[in-house]
Amino acid sequence: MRQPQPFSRSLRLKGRPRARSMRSYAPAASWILIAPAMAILAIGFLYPLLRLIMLSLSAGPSATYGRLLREPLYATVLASSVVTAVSVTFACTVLGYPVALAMARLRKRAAALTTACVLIPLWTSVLIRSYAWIVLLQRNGLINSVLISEGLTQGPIKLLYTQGAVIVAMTHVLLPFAILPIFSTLRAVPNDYVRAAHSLGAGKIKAFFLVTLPLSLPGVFAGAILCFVLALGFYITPALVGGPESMMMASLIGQQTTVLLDWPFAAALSTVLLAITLLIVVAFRKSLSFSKGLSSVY
Amino acid sequence: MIGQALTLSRLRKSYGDIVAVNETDLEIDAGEFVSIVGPSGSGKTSLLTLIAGFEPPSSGAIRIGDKDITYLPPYLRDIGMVFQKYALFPHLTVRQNIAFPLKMRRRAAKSTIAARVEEMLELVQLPQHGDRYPSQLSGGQQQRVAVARALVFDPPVILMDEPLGALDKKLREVMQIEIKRIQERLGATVIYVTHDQEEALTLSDRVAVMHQGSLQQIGTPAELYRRPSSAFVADFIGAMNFVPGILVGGEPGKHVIQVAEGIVLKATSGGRLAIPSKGSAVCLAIRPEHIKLAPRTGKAAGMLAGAVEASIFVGPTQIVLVRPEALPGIVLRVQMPADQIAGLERGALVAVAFDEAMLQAFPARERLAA
Repeated sequence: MRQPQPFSRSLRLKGRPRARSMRSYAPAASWILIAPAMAILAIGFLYPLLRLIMLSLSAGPSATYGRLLREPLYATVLASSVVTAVSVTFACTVLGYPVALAMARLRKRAAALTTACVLIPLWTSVLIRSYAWIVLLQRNGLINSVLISEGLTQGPIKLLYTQGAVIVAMTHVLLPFAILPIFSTLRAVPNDYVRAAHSLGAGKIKAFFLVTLPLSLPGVFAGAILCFVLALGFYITPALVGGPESMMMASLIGQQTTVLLDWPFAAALSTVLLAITLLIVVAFRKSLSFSKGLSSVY
Repeated sequence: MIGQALTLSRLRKSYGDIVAVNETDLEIDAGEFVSIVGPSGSGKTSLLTLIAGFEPPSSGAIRIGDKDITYLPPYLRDIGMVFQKYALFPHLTVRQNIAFPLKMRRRAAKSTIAARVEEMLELVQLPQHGDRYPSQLSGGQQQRVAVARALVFDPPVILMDEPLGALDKKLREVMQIEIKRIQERLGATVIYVTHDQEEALTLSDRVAVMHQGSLQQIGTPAELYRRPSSAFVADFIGAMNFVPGILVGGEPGKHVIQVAEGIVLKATSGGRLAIPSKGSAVCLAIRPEHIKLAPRTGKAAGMLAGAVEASIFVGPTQIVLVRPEALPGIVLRVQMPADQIAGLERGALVAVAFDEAMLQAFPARERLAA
């Protein structure tokens, strides 16, 4: 049996005619044509990355990577970063899916309004949105004053500078990155599939879980990976609303570069963060491609 | 149960001021194959959407057998549907696609479902393809799977919305025969929407012609071809020549019509509509095979004279286009056996004779509406 084709292609096979380049080039000519793009990538991306790794080794591996392993603090920060990123990704996907579905199903004007509600926060500065959460969560902030005036608590609860605050604020900031890819795949699912499911006897709920949801999974995964990668390296929001016990890797790296000026160690931390990000993304995709039923999706 | 009667009574659908389907009455017998044809925008797909239940009608009723399904949601109607682009679920294998309606119904045990799916694969001649994904099949194979999926739960009525529209001509002809074979074998009631009148004539027991949201005529292919009830149907089904004229005499059912100075023809009434009165404008319709041509030398009174504009080879017959001198702006399409075209080459002068038994008159305004 042939290897199942990627899902996006099978969708396109049935819809519009596939766009295809009219020209083809000899291999040598192709290499020449992509050389400028390769050069930009090499200079702007590969070279700095190499320099980063070399910098991390410049003080001797035991002073940087060794220290990372020896002192448990760093492993704790790393673990807490991963846990935070996973929680935020989960929250973004679960909260974002219904919004994306509504955007895809609503009529023109309502859909435009919903899209604006998703995009305007995205275009607003992360700094402003993070400060907004400080206003809401602080000791005499909106939430605490409502809780106290309603008699639900005696005194103010500690909301700000907690792991919870970090997750809530980051979810808010990253939600559009989950919604938009899910929305675009949902929009690409032809209405005929849902109608076909109905005509074959699937009610609304079954049609959603057996047809719409599986067909939108590529968007869910794209959104989840985007959220996860962004969350793992997030700096501003955790630095503002998080406390010392919820310190993230990015804050740690920032501290090393700007306060302690230990650049080799900062470079080592960055390298480890990059490696872990890649590892988790690859593992995520691999585990999906093995799961039954999704094999034609990926 | 497969193959039940379908009845539409005064079914109507409008969107604001736009009427998509005018009050439509239609009775389809159990096991009958009925095509709905019409130009795009004639309301045929809207009608199908109402029967499938994807949208509620504005008024009227739909019944399958004795059961009123007018306001039943689509998933409770038990209607099998084949979509124009097949709509096979791309994330499920062929086998899973065909099993889908059976699993939704939870009527049968797993082993029964599996056996039934194999049976359907056998029926559509794809027994080796059960584990493939739809994207790994050709258009014709996907089409067969779509048919199998729509049939597997023995639906009382099957709807097909231009199911062969995406296939090339050769494959379309093969699939037409295939669909007809399966339908006859199972005794299924099929409603088949197409814009291709030839396809409709080939497949159907009866053909319904729609125009501007209204059902114009329903009848066997031969009835529609021989006795169209309106100028629109006459024009839409098969090739037809139209000649304008003035009613000058005759009796009901047998009219005398003047088409040009000194040229008078006798014609029967086309369709149900009576032609109002003497002096009113009418339009004559005649099929290409009911016109005779003969080479001429001079010109006689009462004779429709013309010149051959083109002669087109189409295999067993020849299409000759003739421009009559007395009828400015009209080109007659004449179909004759290929062995009778001597002296009818381009530019030849001919005398045109209509087979008056086959000449039908329609009110002129109707022709304009078409």
